[in-house]
Amino acid sequence: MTVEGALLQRYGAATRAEVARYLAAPAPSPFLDEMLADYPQRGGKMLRPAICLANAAVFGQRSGGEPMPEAVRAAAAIEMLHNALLIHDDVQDGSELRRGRPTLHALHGVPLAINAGDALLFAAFAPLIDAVRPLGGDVIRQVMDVTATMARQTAEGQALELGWRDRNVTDLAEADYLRMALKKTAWMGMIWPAQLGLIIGSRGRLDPEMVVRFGYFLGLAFQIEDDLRNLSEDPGYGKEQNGDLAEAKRTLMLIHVRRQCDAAERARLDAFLGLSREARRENDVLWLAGLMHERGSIDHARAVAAAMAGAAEHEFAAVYGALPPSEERTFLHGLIRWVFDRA
Amino acid sequence: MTTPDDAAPQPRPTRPEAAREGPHRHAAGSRPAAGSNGAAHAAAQAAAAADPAPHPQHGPVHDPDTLAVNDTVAATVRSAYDVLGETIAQGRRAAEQFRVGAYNVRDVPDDLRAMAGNLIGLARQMTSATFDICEALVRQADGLASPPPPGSTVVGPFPAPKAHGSAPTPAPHPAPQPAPAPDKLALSVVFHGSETARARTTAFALPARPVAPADLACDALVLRGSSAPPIIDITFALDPDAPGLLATISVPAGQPAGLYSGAVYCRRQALLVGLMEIEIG
Repeated sequence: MTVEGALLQRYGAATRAEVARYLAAPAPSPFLDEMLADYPQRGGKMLRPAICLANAAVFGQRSGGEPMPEAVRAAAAIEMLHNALLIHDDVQDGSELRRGRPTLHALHGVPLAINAGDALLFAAFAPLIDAVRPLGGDVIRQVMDVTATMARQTAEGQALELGWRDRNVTDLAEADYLRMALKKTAWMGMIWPAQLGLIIGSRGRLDPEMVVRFGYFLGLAFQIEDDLRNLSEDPGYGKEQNGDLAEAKRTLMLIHVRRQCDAAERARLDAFLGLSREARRENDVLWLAGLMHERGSIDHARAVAAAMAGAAEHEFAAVYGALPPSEERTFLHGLIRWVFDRA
Repeated sequence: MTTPDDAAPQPRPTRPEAAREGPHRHAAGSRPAAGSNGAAHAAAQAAAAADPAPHPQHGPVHDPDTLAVNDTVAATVRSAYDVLGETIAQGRRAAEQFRVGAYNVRDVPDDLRAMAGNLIGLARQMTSATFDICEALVRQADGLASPPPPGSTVVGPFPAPKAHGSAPTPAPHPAPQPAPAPDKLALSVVFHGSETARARTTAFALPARPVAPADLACDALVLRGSSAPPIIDITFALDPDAPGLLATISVPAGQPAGLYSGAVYCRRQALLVGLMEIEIG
């Protein structure tokens, strides 16, 4: 097992234990507590908590030992909040599977699933507050600031993606996609966990903006690679090949291929995008997938994902490069390649 | 070759001009000012050299310095920096609005904390400055066999930090920096040996306990991913012209251009207070 894999496993175990502790209800409420624990129990990569814990160790100069207890609580908060948003995402996207099993709303219906998502969202604040309370008012203020910013950015990103799809917005530029991915993916997935780790590790003495750029480019590389995998024969656990095309998800490839189309192809593409998901036919999905290959959209997206990884390397060197070598720093650096190598 | 030689050449598909290439929004300071396209090209080169995508590798590992950068991809990286800068700028504006609008009595403890922090900082600087003056006097006295003639002892200007509400005094700096946050230690940097060097770092975290400038240490400033020699001559002192620290960095002649960085520590408290980042060229 690699250094990165071992650290991820250790951090994952510590975070899961803390999440279970916070979700353990002495008297479980019917139609609620069982649902709160469902998604967290299904596993997951634990990438976000690991980013938080590694940053706490690096900036707290506590490399190599057990993760800081305050940071483990923050990591639990991150994982709970992430799962709460997944419940809501699944409803919004009409998804049927999550981590290889039926989604929460498919199992229990939309109203109960939304309610469980709400409860998990607020439950996440318990470990977060417990994490920062001993660290004083200034640290609490900083943590609330970055958390409020993350919440706003994430909601804006989700609104962009849903709005583009529901209003059939087609005139998009690559910068629009980058903005959406920054808000929807990078902020909650990479930037915020790194900021929480930095604030807790440094006891609020370092500027949380230091890690924004690295998290941003790592998140962009991650999202583009995720979109590319959806078009491959192995789209990932519990995902359907070309599912993003069937959902008319606005990806870098879609924006690129639309610009490479001739007038007739563009008319067909726009008509396809304007249909409801149920009305989109399989042969149109396959036509669009073929067009993306033919017009170089797949290759272009691969090149951009690699360039974003390069930018992440650049920003990693600027922020973490001067810090002493450690297992945690190696882990954070390894995330850039992990984006492409992950199973 | 799969295409017969006698096949009629197919016309290339036309690429109609996009109605819009980008949102045409630009935020100042959004991307590092490492040359015109420095960061974008560095990123594209690093990406091309690393090429971490799982698709088949083509040929040996490239030398990043000799790679031709794909302009389209470099433009996307540049655009990505713009998007980030714009988003951060919007967030800052929103935060400022909320802060101003939400001011009420509950903020008073924060104000008291800030005032206390300022007072402690003032006392710390005055104490350090006093010791510095005493040290200078002792050094001058040591160098003399007999007491100096009246009026010959030179004492530098006393660095009087401005307290809130005090009468305004002429600013020694032509373009004064905004007052640092109470938990920050303002930093000015003077360079020797280079006219193109400039500092990106403007403040460090304020250590929990008082610290003398001599207790701060900076790792060698290195240019990542390069064999350029590190910059090792970095000293800290109290800034005689403004509250805060003054770093003096000697840049050797012929130092390659680029972004150099090194961690800054407080020796006595084993504490990382920030990163020193400078740009040359």
